[in-house]
Amino acid sequence: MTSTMKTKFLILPILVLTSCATGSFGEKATSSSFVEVAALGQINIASCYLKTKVGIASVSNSASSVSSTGTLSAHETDFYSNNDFKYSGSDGAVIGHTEKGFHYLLNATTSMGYQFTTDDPLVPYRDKAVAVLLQDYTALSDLYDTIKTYATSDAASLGFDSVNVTFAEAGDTVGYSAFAVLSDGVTSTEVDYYLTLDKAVDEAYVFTDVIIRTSVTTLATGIIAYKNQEYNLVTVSDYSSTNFVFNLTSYSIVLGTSNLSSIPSSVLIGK
Amino acid sequence: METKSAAAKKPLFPALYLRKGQWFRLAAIALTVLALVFYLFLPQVLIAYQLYLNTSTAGARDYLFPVEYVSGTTNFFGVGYFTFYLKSSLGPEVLTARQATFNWFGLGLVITAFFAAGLAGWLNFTNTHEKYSKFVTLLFVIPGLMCFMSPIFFLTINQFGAADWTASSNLLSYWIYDSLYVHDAYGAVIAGLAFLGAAVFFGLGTNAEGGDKNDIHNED
Repeated sequence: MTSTMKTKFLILPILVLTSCATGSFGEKATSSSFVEVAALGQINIASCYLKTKVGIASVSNSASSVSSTGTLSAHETDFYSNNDFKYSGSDGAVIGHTEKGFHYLLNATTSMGYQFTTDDPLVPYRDKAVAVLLQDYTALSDLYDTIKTYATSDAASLGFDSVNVTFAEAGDTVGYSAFAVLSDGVTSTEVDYYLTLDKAVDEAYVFTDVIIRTSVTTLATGIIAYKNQEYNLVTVSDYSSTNFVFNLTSYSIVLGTSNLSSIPSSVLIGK
Repeated sequence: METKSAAAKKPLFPALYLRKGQWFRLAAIALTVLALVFYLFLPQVLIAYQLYLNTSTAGARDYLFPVEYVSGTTNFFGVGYFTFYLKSSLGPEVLTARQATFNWFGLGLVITAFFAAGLAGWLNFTNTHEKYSKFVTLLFVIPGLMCFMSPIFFLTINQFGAADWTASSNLLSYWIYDSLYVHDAYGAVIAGLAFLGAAVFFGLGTNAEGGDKNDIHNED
């Protein structure tokens, strides 16, 4: 056996072993990790909701138990075929629906509503739903830019003690996570971002699941003040594929009205 | 004739002459070293959403998630990244990559294995402390079982999945604790079997050496 053969004989098992050890994935995010995000005009959003939970958590000394209290608020926008829509938020819950040539504007909370012969009375409510959606999508786009900045800047320039941004790709899904920590000796602030995007149209990605979690821990007491914001966004290739299925008979509907201004405010809220 | 026969049986290198039991015990030590190599370099943890039928994660994404082997180096030293889905109790499911952290359980495994191998060598060549042989056999078994427990240790050390409760800062109900997609990778099985094989070899060696003289069965 020559010395070269001996060397190969020794190296080969090591190569085999190390080649087996390359299965996990994920990496530190860099400027090249960021994908092209679809513009709002390129996609059809079927639904988007934002849930926000704000509260206080108390951690015991043993760290084995946590008591947590919080209040949850949310708003949600849904779009269907035939320009049907739903909007719900702290200011009300409205459904716009067209069926057999009639247009219905319904209060989902009180199960009351009006029937119209034209679509016009539904337009302002639909516009409001679109405005909320635009606001949410813009917030997500801004957050995406923030994560880009985090990935390409040092922690000190961002005002944190440490910033760690990771990137992962699995199938048609990409995920960005950013963990930023700032401690001043009295409190410790931790901001965690989780952005997940799925491939939508023309190889561009669209936001689907986003979580923002901010917690401020008072070091002396272990009390954590937290705020969790979570977005979920669903896109469709075509609205005609999403029919709004619900039963009109469960609503008390006033017929024959075509003038929006004549609707009592007790019936419709949230405009 | 007898003199000639005795001369014929004399080993060529007397210093290297070992009894059968000693060879078995040396094999146990060699197998332990091999098991350690397997543990440190072969994949130890498998993250496989495709194999997880009762998933609480989004189905369509499960089948596109590559079967992920966490290598021994990532599992032990924490030098690499790994990826998994994290599901919030409020609904959204996010894809996240995390840098692994140093595995203290793994360090315990390695120390136990070295301790077992060292004691085995000591017993093998002193031949006066056989009462410790059962203890040494147990020491070979412990890292073997720990290899099979690699996913549990990995979850605990890296604070995700079912072990997430150990991280109090995660506010308990914030994430859905879902760890059933984390399994033993083939490297954990191979390393575990190698450690258990070492225990068997050591036991065979002890038996061939005459066993523990303090054992009541041997006194019979």
